[in-house]
Amino acid sequence: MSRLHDMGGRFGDGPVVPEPAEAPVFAEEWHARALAVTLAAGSLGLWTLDASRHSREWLLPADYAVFSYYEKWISALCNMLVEHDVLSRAELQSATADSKPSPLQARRLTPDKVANVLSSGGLPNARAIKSHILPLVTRCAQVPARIRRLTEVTAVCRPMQPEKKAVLCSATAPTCFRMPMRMGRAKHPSPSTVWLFGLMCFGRMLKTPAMK
Amino acid sequence: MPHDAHDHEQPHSLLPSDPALRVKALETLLVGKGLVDPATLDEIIDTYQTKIGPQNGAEVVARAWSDDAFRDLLFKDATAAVSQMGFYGRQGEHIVAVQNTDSVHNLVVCTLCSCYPWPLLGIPPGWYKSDAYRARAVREPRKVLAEFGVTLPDQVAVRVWDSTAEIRYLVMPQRPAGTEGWSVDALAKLITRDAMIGTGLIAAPS
Repeated sequence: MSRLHDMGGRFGDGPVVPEPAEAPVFAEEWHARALAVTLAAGSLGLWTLDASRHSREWLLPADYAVFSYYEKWISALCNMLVEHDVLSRAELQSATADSKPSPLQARRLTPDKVANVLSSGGLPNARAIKSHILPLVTRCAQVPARIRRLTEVTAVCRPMQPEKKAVLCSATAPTCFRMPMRMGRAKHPSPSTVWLFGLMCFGRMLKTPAMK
Repeated sequence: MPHDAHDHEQPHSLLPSDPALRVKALETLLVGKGLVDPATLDEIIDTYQTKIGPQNGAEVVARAWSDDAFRDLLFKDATAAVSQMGFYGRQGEHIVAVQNTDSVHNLVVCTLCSCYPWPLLGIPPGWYKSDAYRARAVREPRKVLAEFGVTLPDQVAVRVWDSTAEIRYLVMPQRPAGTEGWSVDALAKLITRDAMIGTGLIAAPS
């Protein structure tokens, strides 16, 4: 089964309307703002690029069908912020930030770091790996019974040649992947297996009841 | 499925429905919590408006037209080749270059959304992200090309590349006749964004 975003080959769409090369990069000011807020929030290190793509694909079909491109971005970002407990529904409803200091403030992206962050690629940054993946990997390796309960993953990863970096690629999957059970059952998983599995868990899996 | 969200309201529905207000509301909340700095947003926007755009891809193509060793590397390992020129980063971690010839024309799409080689071409244009392009480029590429004013002879095969989160494609257009001996800078000025996506051709200089 596919979702609405998987539209290659679909019939019924009208002509493509090209725009001139000199058209502005952002047609509306809010488009630019939506992109920048999304990248700045992403740099807090709570999710990967693939998790953010996934969140757009996971918008309700009725919303996906009528939202413009950057409406999808901003709406999916909002969902992720609530999912990761950065913002609460009450804050969204009242349009007012509560006064509790956020532990994430130290991670706020500053203007001087923008060039580095944008040129560093979409792999999880060292901070994200240290604070999220490594503890998770440790827990995964110690509690295989819990791992077996995690039947659905929203990202799958594979080593890339030649540098053998692992990358997440959930965005291209029309449906969720099933985690290979052997990974969780291995008595002595290799470091690379544990690493890959840690990446697989990164993102939504942190929020599943079995991992809490 | 556990993550299917049909059974409850998604949080974004609590934001204003007007998209500009929706963005403003979220930005205001994040700034209020000390998690986003408005000056950072300005810097990100400026980067994609002035520093990262099709001028980068044009430099790559012009160099490949002029430098055989670089062209060979580009088709062997494009990510390494463009990284040499400082073009690496977000949404361009794995680049593949495809070459137009007298018998093959390449066209790039992302049917699932908008995957695109950001470090080389910047932010994708609106039409690239449109439903019509995503749906039709893989089914009737010649008709889509005609909507860009591109008509190819029947004997030229059209290859359509569907980008993914992992692989982003750069089309190397054919070098036009009449540019022998041109400098890399002069060649780069001829190269358009659309030619590097495959929806355009490079016109011979008049």
